[in-house]
Amino acid sequence: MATGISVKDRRYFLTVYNNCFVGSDAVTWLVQNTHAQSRKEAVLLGRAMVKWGFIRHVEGDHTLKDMTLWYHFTNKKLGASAAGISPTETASTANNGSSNSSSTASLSSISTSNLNTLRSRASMVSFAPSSSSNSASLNNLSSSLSMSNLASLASMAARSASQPIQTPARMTPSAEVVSSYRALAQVGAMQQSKSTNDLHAAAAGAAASASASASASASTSTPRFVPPVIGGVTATSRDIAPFLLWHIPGSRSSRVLWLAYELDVAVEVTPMKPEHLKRPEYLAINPNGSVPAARHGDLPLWEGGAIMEYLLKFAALDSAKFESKSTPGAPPSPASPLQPPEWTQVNWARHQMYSYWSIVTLDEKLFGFGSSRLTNSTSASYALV
Amino acid sequence: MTTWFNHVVAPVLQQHLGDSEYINGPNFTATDVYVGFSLFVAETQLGLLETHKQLKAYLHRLMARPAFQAALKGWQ
Repeated sequence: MATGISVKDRRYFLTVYNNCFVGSDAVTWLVQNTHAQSRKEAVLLGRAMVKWGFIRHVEGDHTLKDMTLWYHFTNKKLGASAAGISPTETASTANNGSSNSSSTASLSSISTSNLNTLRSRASMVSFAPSSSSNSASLNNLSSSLSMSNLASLASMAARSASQPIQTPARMTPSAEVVSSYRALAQVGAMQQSKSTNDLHAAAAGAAASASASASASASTSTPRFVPPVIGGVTATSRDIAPFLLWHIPGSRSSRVLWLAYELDVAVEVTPMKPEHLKRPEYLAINPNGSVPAARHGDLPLWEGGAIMEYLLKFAALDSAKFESKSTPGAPPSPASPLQPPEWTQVNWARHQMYSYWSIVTLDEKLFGFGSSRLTNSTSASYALV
Repeated sequence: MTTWFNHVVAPVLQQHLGDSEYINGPNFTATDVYVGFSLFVAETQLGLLETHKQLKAYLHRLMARPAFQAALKGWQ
C-alpha cells in the first residue's frame, strides 16, 4: 500500500509532517486494487487498520476517513504478538524507527498479502449450507464475518501454508458478504414487502449463491474459529463490520443515532415505520418489536440504553483519537471522553429503571405485551454488552 | 404531566445543570444525549419548557451540535 500511494513530506502552516499520505488516496488505492469493493468498504478496512495500529493520523486525531487528512504508516507488523508469524515478517526482524522507508516498505508487502489472505479465507469458509429462512441467512452472515477477521490474518496465513487452498477470484467473497447485508437490510426495512416470500427468496438467493461457491470447502468444514488476542484486545469480526441501526426518524432511536454521530461511528441506518414494528420480519431482528435495534457484526443489540453503552465501549476501542492519549503500544484507554461519570450513569439509570418498571409491570394490559418476555430479553441484551 | 414535570423533573435537572454548559459540567457526555432527547420531546411535542428558561437554553446548546442536527434532521 505504501508503494501504491503518494507518501511524502507535507506542510501544514509551519509544521512539516514527514512521510505521510492522504486518507482519500488510501481509500482510492484500496478500491482500485480490489481490496474493497466500494469506498465505504475501504473506509471500514482502513478504520480497522487504524484500530490495530498499522496506520495513524499524523496527530492521532482521526480514524481513517475518505478526506484530505494525513496519515503515517506505523512500523507495527501484523501478527507480531499473535501466534503465527508469516515468513515475510520473520525475514525483516529489524525494528526500525517510525516513518523509516525500509519499515514502511516491509509493511506494505505485509498488509497487501494479508488483505489478500483475508479475502481468500473469507471465500473459503464463507457460508454454511443454504437455507430458506431469514434467521438462517443471519447465521450464515455471522459465521462468515467471524472468519473474515483482519487481526487473525497472521494465524490464518500460517494455517493456509500447511493446508494449501485454491486461489479464488478476487473480491467474490466480499460481494457475497455485501449481498447478504443487502438481504439483511431488506428484511429490516421491509421496503417493498408486499409478501414475505419475496424477502425469503432474496435472503435464500444470497445464501444460495454464496454456498454454491463454498460448496467445495463446505464438506471439509473448518473448526470453530477462536479469535486471537492482540495487544490485550480480542479481535472480533466487528472490527470491519458496519454498525447497522433500525431507526424510526424522530423516535427514541434518535438517541442512538445522535450518539453514533457524536462518536464518529460508521453507522448504516435502516429507516422504519411504526407499523413495521410488529411484523415477523422485524421481530426476528428485535423480539421486543421496538426501535432502536442494532446489529454489529454477529452481535444483535436491543434497547437504546444498552446500545448506547455498547457504542461508548466500542468507540473507546475504535477511535484513534482516544488511543493517542495513551502511550504508543499500550492498550486503548477503557473509557471514551463522552463516557459520563459513574455517578450520573448510576443515578440516571436507576431513575430510568423505576419509571420503566412501573410502566411495564403495572400497565401490562395497556401496553399489550407480557412483562416477563420484555424484561427477560432486555436483561439479556444488557448482559451482552 | 405538566405538574409532574414542573415539580419533580425540572427541579432535579436544574439542580444538576446549575450554571454549567452540560449536565456533567463543562464537557459534553453521553448523558447529555440521553437527557437531551427527553427534553427535546418535552419541548417540541409537549411544550413543557416555556417556564424553564435555563433548561431551554441548555436544550438549544444541544440542538446546535452538528451531530444532533444530523440525527434529527427535519424534526426541529
